[in-house]
Amino acid sequence: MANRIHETCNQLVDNVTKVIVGKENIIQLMFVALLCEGHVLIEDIPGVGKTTLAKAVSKSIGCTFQRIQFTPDLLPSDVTGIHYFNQKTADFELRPGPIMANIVLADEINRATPRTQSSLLECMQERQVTIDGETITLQRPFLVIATENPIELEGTFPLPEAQIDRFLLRLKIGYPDETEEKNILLRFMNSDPLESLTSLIKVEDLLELQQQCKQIMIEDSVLSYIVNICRATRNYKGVRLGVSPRATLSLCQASQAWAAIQGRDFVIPDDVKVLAQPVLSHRLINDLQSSFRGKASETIIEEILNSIPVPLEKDGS
Amino acid sequence: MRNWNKEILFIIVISIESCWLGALFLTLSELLLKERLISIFGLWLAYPAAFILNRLLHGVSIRRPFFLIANIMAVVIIILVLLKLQLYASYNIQDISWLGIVNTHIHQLFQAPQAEIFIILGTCTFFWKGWSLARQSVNFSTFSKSFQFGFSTLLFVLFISHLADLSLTNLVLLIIIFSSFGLIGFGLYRSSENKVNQFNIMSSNFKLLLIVVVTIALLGLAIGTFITPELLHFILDILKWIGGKIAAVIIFLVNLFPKSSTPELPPGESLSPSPREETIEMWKWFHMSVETRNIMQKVFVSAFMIGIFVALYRVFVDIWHRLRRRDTTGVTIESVQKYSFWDFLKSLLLFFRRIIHILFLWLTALIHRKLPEKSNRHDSIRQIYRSLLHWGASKGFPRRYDETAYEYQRHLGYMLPLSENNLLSQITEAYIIARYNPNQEGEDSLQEIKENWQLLKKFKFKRIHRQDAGSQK
Repeated sequence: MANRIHETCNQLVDNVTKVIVGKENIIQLMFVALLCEGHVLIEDIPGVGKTTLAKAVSKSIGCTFQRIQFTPDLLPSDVTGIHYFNQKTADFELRPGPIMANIVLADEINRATPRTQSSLLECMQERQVTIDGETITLQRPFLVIATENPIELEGTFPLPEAQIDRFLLRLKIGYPDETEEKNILLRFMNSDPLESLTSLIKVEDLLELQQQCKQIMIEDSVLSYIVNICRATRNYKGVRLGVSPRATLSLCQASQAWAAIQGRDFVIPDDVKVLAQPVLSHRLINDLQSSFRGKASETIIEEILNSIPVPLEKDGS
Repeated sequence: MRNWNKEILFIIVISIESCWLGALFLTLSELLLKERLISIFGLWLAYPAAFILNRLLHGVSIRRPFFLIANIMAVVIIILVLLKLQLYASYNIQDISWLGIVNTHIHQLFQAPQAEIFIILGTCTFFWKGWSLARQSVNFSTFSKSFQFGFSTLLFVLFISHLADLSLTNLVLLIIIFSSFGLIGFGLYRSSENKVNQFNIMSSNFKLLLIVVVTIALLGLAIGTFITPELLHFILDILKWIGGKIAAVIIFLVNLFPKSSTPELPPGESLSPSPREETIEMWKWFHMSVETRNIMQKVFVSAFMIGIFVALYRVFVDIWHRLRRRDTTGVTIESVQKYSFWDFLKSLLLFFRRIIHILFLWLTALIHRKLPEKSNRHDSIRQIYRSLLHWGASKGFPRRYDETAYEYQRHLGYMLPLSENNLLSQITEAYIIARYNPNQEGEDSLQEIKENWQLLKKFKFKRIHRQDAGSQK
């Protein structure tokens, strides 16, 4: 069971790395989000390959892909779709919005007004769209990759905490190193490798893998470990608001997916440690003191991980 | 520059242990062997002898049965030499008839304290301490445990000596030496912990260590001038008076119970020995002499007194904390609940109740000892991993509580060559399956894992500086 997920992930990574250079870890985390039916928030500067990554992933799994560029004048109906009157047929017809795709790239989500943001976030949570009273269930798999530019914050509407909590992972792609950047030039100089990407798995197979992922075993002490980490964020000095039980569930599911990707059908504490940062860091709100000191959420998560004992044998000395 | 930290720590631990062991045996010899006093220094020689012998044997890497045989032979030789030199020096070297006398005295073990038994037990104790110290890697945790245990033992010995009206001069000297080495050890630890990755005391922390040693020496001189044996006797007399009053209360309570009176017999008839007395007559060689019984009484009274003082200490600490406690509104002392005599009794009873509960649990476990269940494969693997963790810790590479099994494998693996690293990897993999997925059987057989562990634990770690370890990463 886990072997199949492991092989599929390796194939996906090999396929996507034909386009994206040197970000195997990010691609694996994207696959985690796919398996857990979660959504991804990418906080990164422009031009590092966010759109290319989303397109490459969608091509690899044979899914439909849509991109929404969020601007301040974007309306909710631009996201969800509208009913328009067709003069030829003299009837209202549905024009589905870009949300009706398997993978949706919501570019610079913090540029849109809260009203437009909420329309997207409702789709993320409910996996359905309501247009003029008509509810349409979104197709599965459904993955939203939202991006935020951490540099230009003027005139933006930061996502509220309650909405950020709905994202399973927060990723940072970052700049490539010297070798990787040179490889990018070599690959993209003469052609676009994205066009030659082929689909590796079908949507039905992906849905089956999602179900198999839920069968990955978690031992009781590892569950307690996950709960202890999440509870520690609520009492930690320097944190105004800790993570919610939704985050605990997300960490648990993501750990299962990560274990499956590594070829194991059981979760170990290393899986939890790897995923703690991407799953929990964006859900913390630091207090003023730690913000003034420049203490990032990632540092707090790391400190918490260093303070929680791992469920393991004692040496008895 | 070479790091002398470990060697200095060895010397400190040996000195501390020598002090409290020496004090214990010195007091016991004065209590038990009034007529045939022996030299404790002679017994102490077994300690460095065992330490050096076992260090040499570890360096040679011989097999375990030969290792044990060498140690047993060494302890027997040392015992015989000490017996000959201390008790039977007047006999010629060729004359071994004194061994028969030793045998006779051993059979009189329960009738009177025997110097031969004392020498045998003392030598074995010192030898065992030297043996165990040679096998472990000394760190500040070991030093701290040794200091705490030694300190408690010295207090106990002090009480016994006072109750038995023994001279405290030698004891006071040993306590001062013990405390000095203890302070040097703590000073060394404090001076080295400022630099987490460097333990080289020959660098800037040498000045700090020098200041600590000089301060200890001056303090020792100052304390030694006014803490005399007479002052100690005075303090102990006060404590003895308190204990006497408590004992008087207990005796009063016991006397409230009705006493059984012996029936008056008609003249000419005598009371036939009861079956119980006949039984005692049969087992007369268990009968203790009056002197031994008095000593045992004093030992138990001392243990009782120490229990009282520990309870008093806890009560006073509690009172101190209550007096110091302040809430956010700045409550003054007057608003703190006054500690009454009944609260003190309550704390005392709670303390004894805990002791009794611990003893009860221990006795219950002893009586109702369950047969060990046949351990399955996963339990065996987990036990092997526990042994691996203990082995790593004893070599100076303990697992941090936030380290996972794979992280610890990387941590320990930096110190191992490739072949041992593979063994460690196999054991870790097997453990992870056993621990986190008991439903799955691993690929390696249990026998293979056991053999891998036996091979791995034979590895001898070389002494490397932390800078070298960091560069290996």
